[in-house]
Amino acid sequence: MVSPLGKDREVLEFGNEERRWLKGIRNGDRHIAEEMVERTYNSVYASLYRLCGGNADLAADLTQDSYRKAWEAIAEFDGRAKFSTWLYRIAYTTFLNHVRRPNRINAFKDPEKMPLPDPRPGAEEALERSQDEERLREAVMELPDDLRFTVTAHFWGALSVTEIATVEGITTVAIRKRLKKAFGLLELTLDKDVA
Amino acid sequence: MNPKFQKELERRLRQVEVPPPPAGLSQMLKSDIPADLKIERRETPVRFWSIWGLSWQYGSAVVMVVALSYVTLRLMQSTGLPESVEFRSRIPVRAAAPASAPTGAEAETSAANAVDAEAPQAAGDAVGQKSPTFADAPKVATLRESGNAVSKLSDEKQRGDQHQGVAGRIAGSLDKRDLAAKSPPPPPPATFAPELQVADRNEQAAAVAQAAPSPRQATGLEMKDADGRANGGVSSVTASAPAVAAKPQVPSTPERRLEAGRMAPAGSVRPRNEASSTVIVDLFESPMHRGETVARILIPEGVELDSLTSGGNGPVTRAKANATTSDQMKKEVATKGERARFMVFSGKAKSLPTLEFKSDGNKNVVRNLATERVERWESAPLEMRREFLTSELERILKASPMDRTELAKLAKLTSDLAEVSGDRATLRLRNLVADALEASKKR
Repeated sequence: MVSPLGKDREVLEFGNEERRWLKGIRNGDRHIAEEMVERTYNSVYASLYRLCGGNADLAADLTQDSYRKAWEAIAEFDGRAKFSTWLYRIAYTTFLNHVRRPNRINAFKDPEKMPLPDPRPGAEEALERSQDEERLREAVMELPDDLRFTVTAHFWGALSVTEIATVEGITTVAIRKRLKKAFGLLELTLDKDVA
Repeated sequence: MNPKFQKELERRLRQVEVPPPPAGLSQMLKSDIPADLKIERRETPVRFWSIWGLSWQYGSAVVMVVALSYVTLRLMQSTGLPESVEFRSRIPVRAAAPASAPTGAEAETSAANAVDAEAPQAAGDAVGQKSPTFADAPKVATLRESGNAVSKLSDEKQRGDQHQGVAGRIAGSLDKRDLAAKSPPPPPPATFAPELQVADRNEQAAAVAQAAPSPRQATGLEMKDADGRANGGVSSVTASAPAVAAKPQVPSTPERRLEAGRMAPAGSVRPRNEASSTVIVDLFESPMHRGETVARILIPEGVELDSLTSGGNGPVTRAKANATTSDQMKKEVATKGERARFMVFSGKAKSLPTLEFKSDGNKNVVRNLATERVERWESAPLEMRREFLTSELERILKASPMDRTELAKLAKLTSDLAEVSGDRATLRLRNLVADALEASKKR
């Protein structure tokens, strides 16, 4: 069990490490940039994987795009939010840009990529669970922009409410209200789907 | 929302299993790192200049607003308000002139000159010739309040002043500065007060000059507020009035003045029926906030006044000189020695009142009885306030004699005050109290 103090120390150390990264990157230290990639790409990929509904290839492509954009915009990072939060925001925007492109809209609902029934024992249950996850993901994607970002950042990007509030420029209370509202809409959507 | 469902939803949202990223993804990302990583931050200069740009926008807007306000105010001041009354601070500067009263011959000559000239300048020139001393002010106030000006003036003053005309008493309160500032050109005689015959005027002026008891009586045109409370006459209204105006050799009281009957601008012709002389209405703490000013006019003895109407702005009621409340104001024809109470102007009125009255059988009309300037107590100079307060104290001392002990205390206090202050009014105050104490001891 991790003590709260230990968690705080980790956060503090991580914050110090972020500052070190930023300073090294701005000084042109390539090794530090590689270290930063090594430490962050897993979470970026994971959040994009969830956003993409389990499409691993797409998530990998979008992760690559996100880092390219991050290198281009690294000069504008002012350090108000955590670096990982800033990176998640870039990844989310990259995902939205990809989704909004007309020729890729249908990529998520491609019937060929839908999971097929597996004849092995227990496969039916797994399929049902997979369908539930997909239904939930679609319901999240149908949320309004602000609610969708809040839900995905919190649950799929593993950002805390405070970090989301910082990056959105609003209070934590407002973020919690957004989450509550999002849950209400998700409940309605999922109930409707079941019905 | 069902809490169980919410928890279940949260669990399902977190439950999504994520496989490890593809094997080569890390290397691909590292290879995408640009070769030239060194970055020069450029936010600071951009923000710096953007902040300055914003400040310049706000600053220029503020400057524009201030400049426009200033120009608008200046324009409003220069054009003036045609229908409304313009209030401006104005207190006549007392001319340090001898207090000697003119002789009867001088008064007659003055009256004749005034009739011949019929020009405001004539009156203005005459103002500076005779002017009261500060010592006269308390007496003026006292006499004004009591309404018995003649009997209470000193004998030597009375003798000299009796030869002055009503107009002289009235117009005397015009100071040099007022007339010099206005200095309208002499209008043609034919267009000026046509109702008044020159011969009549001469006779009238002479008769009035003989009958007039005191130059200070004319300043007893006191203002009272709407409730009829005496306010003491700190401000005054000066309006054009009957042709009895002679050379004004009347002392100007230390009260504030409010001039009515706007003088014609230079080069213009004065309206017909406008009399050449001046009526003075003293105002004090006029209830401007109520949009009206109620003034009291003391009709001097020697003036046959058989009607007084104020057209346009309010009723005219009359009362005896010592009337202090509205109830005592009666709608009767004013007679000698009575005061007329009438509305001088109303802020809500569109037209300015016309004051009409007959004196010695001649009809006199004062059109546009507008107050040009109102002097308020708060803005009066310190010297003038002292004068007024001293005169008021003198009146109180005379009206209600105090106990000797109280007077002794007061004498001590005023003596100390005179030592500290040393100004003229305070010294006079000290002397007044000392005299009152002496009189009390004699009694």
